[in-house]
This record gives sequence, structure tokens and C-alpha cells, in this order.
Amino acid sequence: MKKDSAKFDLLKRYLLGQLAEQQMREIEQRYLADEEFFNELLRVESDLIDQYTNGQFPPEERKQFEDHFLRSAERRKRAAQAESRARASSQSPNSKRTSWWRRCLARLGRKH
Amino acid sequence: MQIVIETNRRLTVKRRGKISENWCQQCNQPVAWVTPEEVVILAGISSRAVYQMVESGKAHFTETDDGFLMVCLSSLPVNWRQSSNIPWPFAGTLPETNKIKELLLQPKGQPEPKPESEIDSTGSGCIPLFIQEMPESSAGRNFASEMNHSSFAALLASLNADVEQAAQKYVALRQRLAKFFECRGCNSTLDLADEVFNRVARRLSEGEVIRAADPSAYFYGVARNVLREYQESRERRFISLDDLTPYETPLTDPAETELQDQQRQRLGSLMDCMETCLRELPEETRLLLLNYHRYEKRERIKARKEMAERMGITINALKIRVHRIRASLGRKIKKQMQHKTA
Repeated sequence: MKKDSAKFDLLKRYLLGQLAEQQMREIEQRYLADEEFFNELLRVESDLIDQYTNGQFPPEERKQFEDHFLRSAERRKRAAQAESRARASSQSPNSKRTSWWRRCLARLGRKH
Repeated sequence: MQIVIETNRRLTVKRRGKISENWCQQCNQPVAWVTPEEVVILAGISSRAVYQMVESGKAHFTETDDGFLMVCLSSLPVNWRQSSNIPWPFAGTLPETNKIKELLLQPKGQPEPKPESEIDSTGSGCIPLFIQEMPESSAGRNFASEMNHSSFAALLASLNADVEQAAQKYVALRQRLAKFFECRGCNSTLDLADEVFNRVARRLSEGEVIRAADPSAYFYGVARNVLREYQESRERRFISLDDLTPYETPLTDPAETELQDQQRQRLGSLMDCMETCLRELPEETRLLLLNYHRYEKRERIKARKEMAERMGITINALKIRVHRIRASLGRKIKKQMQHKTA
């Protein structure tokens, strides 16, 4: 589990352009040769887009995401699609709105 | 004035064996069934996307007696068929063969490729697996891209001795190289991946040998050179609307984003106030409130029931107690927020 989260963190930092050149090269060489690792990269990429569209990034990471990750037109398209999907699902009559009380207390409960 | 010249390369990959044709209950007609891996190649998408389509019921599927998953070709989205120019659907029963040795490449400047029917009538008995039109050059880029049949064959041979496996590796490597360029902030990433292949093919045809145990390392080296040239030339190229940065073409309405940021900030300061006020509560009361709101759905009902039992009160009494604590906490938070904004 720890290993997975470390890998996720590494790939996330790679996708957000937070790694040093040497580390980036190592990752790139690895995903060119390793299918499993490449699929992992695709998964992390999807997760990042979801987090972005759900507004789960803190402001500085959000800026990094927009500056680096969204530089490619293809990714911007995907993010826009995910955003419109998220908007559509949040507007659906079946989606339940949670009160801010509940959200805050649940978050603090996990923290304490 | 800018003159844009686009040329296309046609790559046909042939498939071994026969595509099984069986009845699809949802389509209510006989259809062609393929494995998820074949859908990946046909549609140029990830296997994860294929399984998601199957799970969500968007793609029809069946399981063989051996437990293998088969996907109904006719149920896949039409835009996949159009975007990847797949001969769709595979009409009729296709000829069976064990001999797959043909990869057709139509280089630049050559006559138009033959129609599918003509290709199949060559007697190779092969089944076209997919045909992809690959744009070879983009406006303003000055890449010398020349690849003929023999240099492409040499390129494939460098990937694997078996042509079919080499073709699969080629497709996978092309996707990964495109991702590499995407991660480095490039646009027209498939064009750049093709440029890598062009250069490697040219070197191979000039007699260079890939000595690395894994050819991907060699391709990576070439890809880095292509990237460097792209970055150097980027300033001089015209920038299309698609290439503008998010700040130049915001993905979302800036006013809406600002509103969302304000809401987020407000929620953040509410959280801070709530945390401060919670700390001021007696420990027993604080834990009661936090535990009351900790879980979701069934777990929540169960946890609340257990809490009430532990405290020796009814669920309703517990609800009232929590409501009172919350009301008093709400008043404190409101006061703090007013104090903050004042």
C-alpha cells in the first residue's frame, strides 16, 4: 500500500512537472519499456483530472496543474470533458447535497 | 500568408485467424466478437477504457466457455470507428490464415492505397486488423520525414522478429512516445512520435544497428532530440488556438472560478473556526459530535445505534443531544466568523 502511494506520488509529481530532469528521464524510460508502469501513469493522469474538476486541488497545486499539465491541447480537451461530465452529474436531480456541517465535521472527525 | 501541406501515411496491419461471428442478444443479430486487446488496437484506447465500457454496459459482451471476455464490435461507439478509420463492421466471414506477414506502408508521394477489397484479393489471405491514417507533417514544422517500405520493414524488425508482434510493439511504442511528448508540453504529439520512427527508420536503413537490449531506450534517445528541436522551433511557429495556454484560453469562466475560489476560502475559514470552537468543547462532547458525523450510509446508522446503546439512551434522545450541541457550536462559530470579518 505504501509502495503504491509512493508510486502515485512520484507519477503525480512527474505529471505536474515537479521533478528534476534526471528523475523525469528515469520515469520516461521506464514507461516506454514497461506496459504496467505506463498504465499506472494513465491511471494517475485520470485521477488528477478528476481531482481538478472536482476542485480538490489546493490553490498552488491547481496553478501547477494549469501551468504544466494543461499545456497540451489534448489534455485541456479531456479536462473540459471531465468538467462538463462532473457538472452534469452534480446538476442531476438524484445527486444528494451534503450539508457543510456534515462535510466539515466528517473531515475534522478523520483528522482527530 | 501561410501554406499548410498535409500528407498521410496509411498503415494496414493484418490479423491472424478468423473473427468469430455469433449472435448478440442485445443487437439481436449475428455480430463479430473480438477480445478486449483487439478493441484496444482497433480503437486506439486503453484497456481500462474498454473494461469500463463493458462494466457500464455501453459495450455488449459475452464470456466464452473458457471464461474469456469477448466484446461485440457493433456495440462500440460510432465515433471510434470513424476517428480511427476502421473498416467497420467486419462484413461476412473472413478468410482464415496462419500466415500474417504483411504490413503495408504507403509512403509520401506514392499513389493512393488500394481499396480494402483489392488489398485482400492479393491472395495473402490476411484480415485487415486496422487501418490508421497518420498525419505526417504539421504546418510550420520542418521535419524531413521520409520512410519507404524497406526502411519501415527494418524498423519493425528492430522491434521484434515476428511481424505481428513487431506491429503491436510499434503501436504501443507510438502511444507511449506520444504520451512522452504530451508530458513535455508538446502539441501534435502523434506527429512527433511519427517523426521519431522516421528518424530511427532512416538510421536503420543507413546501416545503423540498435545494440541496446531494449529498443525503447534507443527510441527514447531519438525522442529527446526531436523534443529539443521542437522546443527550439516552438517560438518561431505559429500558435493555433488549441495551443494557447489555459491563461490565454481559460478552460472555465474566470468569474465562475473566482466564485468557486471564494466559496472554497469561506469553507476553509469556517473549518478553522469550527476546529477552534470544537477544541473549546469538553472532550466528551467533542468526541460525541465528531463520532456522530464520522461515518457514511449504513455504517453511520450502525455507529449511531451503538453510541445510543453505550450511552443508555434512545436514538431520538441522542439526536436531540447532538442537535443542541450543534446549535450552541453554531452560535459560537457565527460569532467567531463575525469577529474575523470585522
